[in-house]
Amino acid sequence: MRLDWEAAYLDGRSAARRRATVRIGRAALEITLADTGTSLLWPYGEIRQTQGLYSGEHVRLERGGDLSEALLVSDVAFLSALKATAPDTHFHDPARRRSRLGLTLVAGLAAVGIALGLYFFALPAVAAVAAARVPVAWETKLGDTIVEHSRRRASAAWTPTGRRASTRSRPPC
Amino acid sequence: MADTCPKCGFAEVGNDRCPQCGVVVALYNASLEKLRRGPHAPPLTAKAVAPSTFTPTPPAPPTGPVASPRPVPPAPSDGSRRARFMGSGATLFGIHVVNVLLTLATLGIYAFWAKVRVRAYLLSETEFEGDRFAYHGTGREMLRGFLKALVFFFIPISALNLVPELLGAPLAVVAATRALVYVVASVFVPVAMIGARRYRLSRTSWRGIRLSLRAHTWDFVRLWTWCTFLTAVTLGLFYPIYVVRRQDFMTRHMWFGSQRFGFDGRGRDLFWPFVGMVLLLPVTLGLSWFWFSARKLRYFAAHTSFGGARFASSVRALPLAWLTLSSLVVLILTLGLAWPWMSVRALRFAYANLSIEGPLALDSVTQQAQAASATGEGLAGFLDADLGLT
Repeated sequence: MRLDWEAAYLDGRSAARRRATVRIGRAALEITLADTGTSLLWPYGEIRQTQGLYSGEHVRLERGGDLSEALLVSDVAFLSALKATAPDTHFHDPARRRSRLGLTLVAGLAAVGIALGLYFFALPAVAAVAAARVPVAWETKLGDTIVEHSRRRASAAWTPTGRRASTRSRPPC
Repeated sequence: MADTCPKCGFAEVGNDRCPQCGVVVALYNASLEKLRRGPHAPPLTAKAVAPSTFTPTPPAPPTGPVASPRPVPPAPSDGSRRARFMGSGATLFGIHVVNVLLTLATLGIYAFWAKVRVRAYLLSETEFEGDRFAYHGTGREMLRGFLKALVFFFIPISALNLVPELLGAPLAVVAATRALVYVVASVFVPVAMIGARRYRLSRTSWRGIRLSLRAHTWDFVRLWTWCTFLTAVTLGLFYPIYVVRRQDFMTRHMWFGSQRFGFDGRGRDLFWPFVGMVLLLPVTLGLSWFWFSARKLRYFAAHTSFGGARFASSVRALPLAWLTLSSLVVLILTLGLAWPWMSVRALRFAYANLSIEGPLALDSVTQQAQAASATGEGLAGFLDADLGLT
């Protein structure tokens, strides 16, 4: 099992990209910076993986608060080695990507099913409950407003300009 | 007594505690040793813990084959550089399908997390100088921003718009409240624009350094209100001057860490191209709009600088028209299902036509992140006041 990997380290304070070697341990990653030789230890519990979940992405591990340090590994096989060495960690396992196509298909079918269920059953049920609680006065007022609005538009259409427009838009018989 | 901090690498650790990160060196070394041994290792002896000094170790020789490192571009350096989009439409489609499912299942609440996933993917597949961008926003903060915008903007505005009519108020009162709603909403459009951009930039990083928008919201509200008024009064003729001033504002207030972007465009430079486009609009059946858009993009890029470098765009009208129209046709024919592929195509087109020329001293840029809430993002969702930026 390969335990040492080439990586890049970002300290979160400057844009300088520092070359590093990362060694996979049983409970932590040990990062050695190439320029200073400084060793940093990242316990697995403090690391979060923010990239490297999809094919083509580089692996990006972050540690710290909002402006965190980051470790970048371009080879996704690093994750497989990490998972093999420390199986209980929360990092993404690239081996699971193979099942994604089937899961996406299932998700698509489920989305269609839920959409149909919402449209045909849930929305009418909610509408029935809500309609029963709307005061009749509100409904009357809303109806009057719509009738008034329609009447105003209809009368506008009977002005000479409106009549010309409606005549033009009428399809030939 | 230690010389160098084992955690952050600070060079002058005067006593046992690092003045920079606050770590106690002896404890850190002890836990380092413990972690190095793993959870099933035998307990440490006093002898193993005793050394309180930490000597920077030279890079350990790899025990196995080590992947060849990607070439790290030297900095500062001259020449033409481009961003590249490395992702695929198929992957984005998979993300989209799962997003739709979870958004439906949660009655819309997951939409904020869905947006984050799409942005994170698009940025993580965008490469510049061998390094990918990163997105740091969260669904939770976007939901919070949406709720704030809902409570403090959407509900009051809707109530102001509807209640007088429902209560049967006189026509004058209804008209007055509608005018008030229009004015208030108009003020909030630029607030949303700048808030959304500020939020998105603050959550975007490259090489760990955040971008930021450092501008007073009120300055943009004044610019937007005045320019919108002038555009209306001049029947649209002020529009090219407005878009340049808006670009000027957004660009000059944008920072990458400690380095500011620059813009030296002038509004009147796009005036005659705009007039030409309007005159040709009926003759070209609207296609002259693409000619103007391409010209605008080239102009914006040519007048944008970053340190000693300057952007350049090679967008032409015909490819832009083909990209836009063909994408529209494909989206209609596929009922929107091709959206991920069309998004990827648009990004590739944008990056292929945008370059940055000249010296870039990127390594000297330092972190200067700015706080930004997601309320502007929430407002932009209500007002459809989005200026792009993924």
